[in-house]
Amino acid sequence: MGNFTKIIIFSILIVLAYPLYVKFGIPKLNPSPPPVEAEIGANMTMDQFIALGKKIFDEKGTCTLCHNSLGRAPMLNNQHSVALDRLKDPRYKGGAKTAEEYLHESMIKTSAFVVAGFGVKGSNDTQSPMPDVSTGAIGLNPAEIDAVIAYMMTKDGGKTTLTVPTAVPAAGAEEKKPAAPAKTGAEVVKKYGCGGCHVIAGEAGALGPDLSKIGSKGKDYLRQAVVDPDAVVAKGFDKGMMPTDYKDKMTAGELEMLVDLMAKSK
Amino acid sequence: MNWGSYLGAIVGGLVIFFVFDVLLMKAQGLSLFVK
Amino acid sequence: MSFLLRRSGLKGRAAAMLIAGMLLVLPLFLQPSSNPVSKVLSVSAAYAEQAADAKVEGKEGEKDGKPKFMAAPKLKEGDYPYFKTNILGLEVTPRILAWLIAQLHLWFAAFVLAVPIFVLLIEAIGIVTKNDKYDDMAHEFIKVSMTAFSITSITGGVLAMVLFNYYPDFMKYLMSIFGDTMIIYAMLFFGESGCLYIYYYGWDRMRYGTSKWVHLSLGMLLNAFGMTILFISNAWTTFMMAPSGVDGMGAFTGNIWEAIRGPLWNPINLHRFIANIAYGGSIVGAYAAYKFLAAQSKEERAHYDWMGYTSNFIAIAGLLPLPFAGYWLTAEMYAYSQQVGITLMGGLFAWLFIVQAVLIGSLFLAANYYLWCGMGRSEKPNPYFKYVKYIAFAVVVSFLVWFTPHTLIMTAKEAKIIGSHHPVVGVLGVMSAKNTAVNILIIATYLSFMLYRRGDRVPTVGWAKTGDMLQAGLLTAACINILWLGIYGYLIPANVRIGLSIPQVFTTLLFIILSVIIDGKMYKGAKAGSVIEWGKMPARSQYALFLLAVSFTWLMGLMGFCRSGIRQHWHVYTVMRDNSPDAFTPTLPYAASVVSVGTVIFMALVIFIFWLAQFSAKKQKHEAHGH
Repeated sequence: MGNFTKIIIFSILIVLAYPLYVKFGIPKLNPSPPPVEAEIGANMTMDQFIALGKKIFDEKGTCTLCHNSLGRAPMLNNQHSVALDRLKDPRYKGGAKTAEEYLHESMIKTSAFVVAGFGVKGSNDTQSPMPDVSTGAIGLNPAEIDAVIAYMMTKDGGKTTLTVPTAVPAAGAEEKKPAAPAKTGAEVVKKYGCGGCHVIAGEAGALGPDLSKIGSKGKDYLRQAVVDPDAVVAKGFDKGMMPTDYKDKMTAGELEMLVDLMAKSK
Repeated sequence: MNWGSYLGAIVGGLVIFFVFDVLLMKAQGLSLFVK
Repeated sequence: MSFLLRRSGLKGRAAAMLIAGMLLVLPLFLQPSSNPVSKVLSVSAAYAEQAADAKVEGKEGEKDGKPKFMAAPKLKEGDYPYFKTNILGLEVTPRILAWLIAQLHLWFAAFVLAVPIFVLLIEAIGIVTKNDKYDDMAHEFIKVSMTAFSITSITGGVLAMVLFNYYPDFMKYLMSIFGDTMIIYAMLFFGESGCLYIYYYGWDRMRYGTSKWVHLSLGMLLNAFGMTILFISNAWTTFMMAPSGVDGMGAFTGNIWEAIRGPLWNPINLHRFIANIAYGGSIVGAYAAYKFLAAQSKEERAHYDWMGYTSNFIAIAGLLPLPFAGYWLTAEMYAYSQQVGITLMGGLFAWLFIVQAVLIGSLFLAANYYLWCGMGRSEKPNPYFKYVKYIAFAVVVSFLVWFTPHTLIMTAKEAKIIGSHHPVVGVLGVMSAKNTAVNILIIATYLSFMLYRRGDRVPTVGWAKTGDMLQAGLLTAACINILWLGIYGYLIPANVRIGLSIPQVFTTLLFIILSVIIDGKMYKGAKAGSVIEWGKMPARSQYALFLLAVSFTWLMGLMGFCRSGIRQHWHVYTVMRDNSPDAFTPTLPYAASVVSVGTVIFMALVIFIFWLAQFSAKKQKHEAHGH
């Protein structure tokens, strides 16, 4: 056999040996498929909602990447009672009042409270290494976050006050059928979910500034706050928290109705 | 066989390496000695 | 610079070289993070801050409150032109096509960037030693690689076409940020090929005297162009992994340096620069090995044996610092995003790194084995050959420790009895053991080389025995220090244990440096001990060189998958989502098969290149027809 042939055979053997080792010599790991926006069906039951939460917890949310027994992050057992303990912790300075609010805050404003020993090295447990799950690589939408909270509250025998949110269409569907513009300011508030974070028009969100007396600020200020939320941020709140795409989603009419409604809230 | 230099080099080497162990850990904001 | 050249003698020429050299190295020093050791942990924080600021402000790119540059598009599956076909029983989709072409491009690009580096060095050595054989070998290296340059360009062009065709929106977005750099990148090829052609075709014409120095400077300029080209494309790739210079919506903030100088840019620059050298050495080593086996005369065999030795030396020289460059890269990835870091080392890609360990083990074994065979070249037996068995033992044990995983493949029944980790072997699966093993591996390889080099020389200094004892003592101390740090790591918290790798690495480096100094002084004026008979090598030693080249290629393919796959379902991590039909992260066996297919294609093309080099060397005999 000529040298050339021998070398070719030798090389082919090597090139075969490595993938064979990979196929048979190491455990089979199946990467999760690319995550999709969760679809909350119109008739989803609470049990299904909690099961969705578990699925997100295990897959899209990548929670178990760090929250496992290897010690990088706290174990997430018994959160229905642990969350209440955390609220009573003298170090707790966040804004949550209920267990669900605490869990919500811990997933978004992750540094609001850092469990002892798990902070970023050198930050004396004031900075959390956990990313904001509502954006970036994980990017859970509000319904998905609620599903995860519902799962965490109930998986170890607790109960939750959360309910299945009204149907959230998958991202694609939204683009195909733009909803008809709202007809009143209150409808605008409901349509864009302002109450999820703000106290406004009868709704009581706890993550953003209280808007029940915001009329004193004047219409220009209010209009800018909706269209360019990061331009001026209320004291005690952070940049980058309020969605910046209302200016793309709202019609001009909706915006004006909302501004009027807020201007009247004195 | 010059055992003197061999042992001397071991001791000397260990001392130098140990000094750098301490210094390099310090440079990273850590301490070699953990209680 | 002619005033420097007019001054005859080494000083003027050396000064000219120094200036040209600074041009080459200048780009590295313009970067903020040029000092890996002290900045490993702090530079990433600075970048994270920079990236965070850019995300919030975005003022530079704004005009009348509206961003000047496009936000990252949100694509749907239908936005991607798609096809699926079968070639020779293998499924081909746009993703596979882009993957294979990109990998082929990277293999060839690594090769053509590496060759000018060591050709320049060997040419310089030829000038200093005034020995023709160095210059001839440098000339042969560049001759053999000429065709590789055009294959690099071809694969680059095809890659660009594939990307524009099948990922048009992604390319549009990328160009909204890097468009200018892409033009510059293309223009630089004028400079690179200009230098290459004059450097190569003018070799014999610029052989001596001042012309030779001009020739050398051209070689340096060739390297400068090559490195700049590398660094520009590295910016695009690291932007995709760890974006900087864009706001929260992905719109460019307008500052191109912010986009280029992301946290991973310099780590990849360093890593690819060193790895290219090692890789280039292994490929020309395969060339030398083949020519050795096919040699028809003793002179030819001697020539190619020496070439193989030099290639192996280049490969090892590049291989030794590589783990440190890789460590810096991974540390920066960890600092950029804990999630990415943990996915890499503790999650989905953890097993990939075990496979990488196996590959690197092969490389070290092959390189060391070649050196041990090389000891047989000396006419009289190498007096240090008796130590090879200890080095071999250390190499094999380190390799075994290195690739022992933390979690074992167990049946459910075994897992019930043992638990998730093997009680004895499981402890070897953590960084404490791995770092210890790789440091011992590097020291062992250095020793193989050092003992090999002693084969033909006998020291004449009076303190030679003491010198040996000193080095042996330092070696013992180094091993003790590395081992005790490794064991100590098990007894302390994880966040402190990680820091121990720096002192371990430093011990290895310090020992090697001290040993080189002592050995250098010891062998000054050494007399020839035994004659080195170049060509006196068993055929199996050449197969070690083939193993080196093929494994290196496969390893690069695997790490290419790692770099690309860690982005998972993102075109640009956290900024632009990949919604193409094939956005899935492949399993490791799937990736391994694609890498193998690529390796085979690459090998075929390399054989073509080497064949072409000798095909063009012969002149056809013209038979007279009598007219």
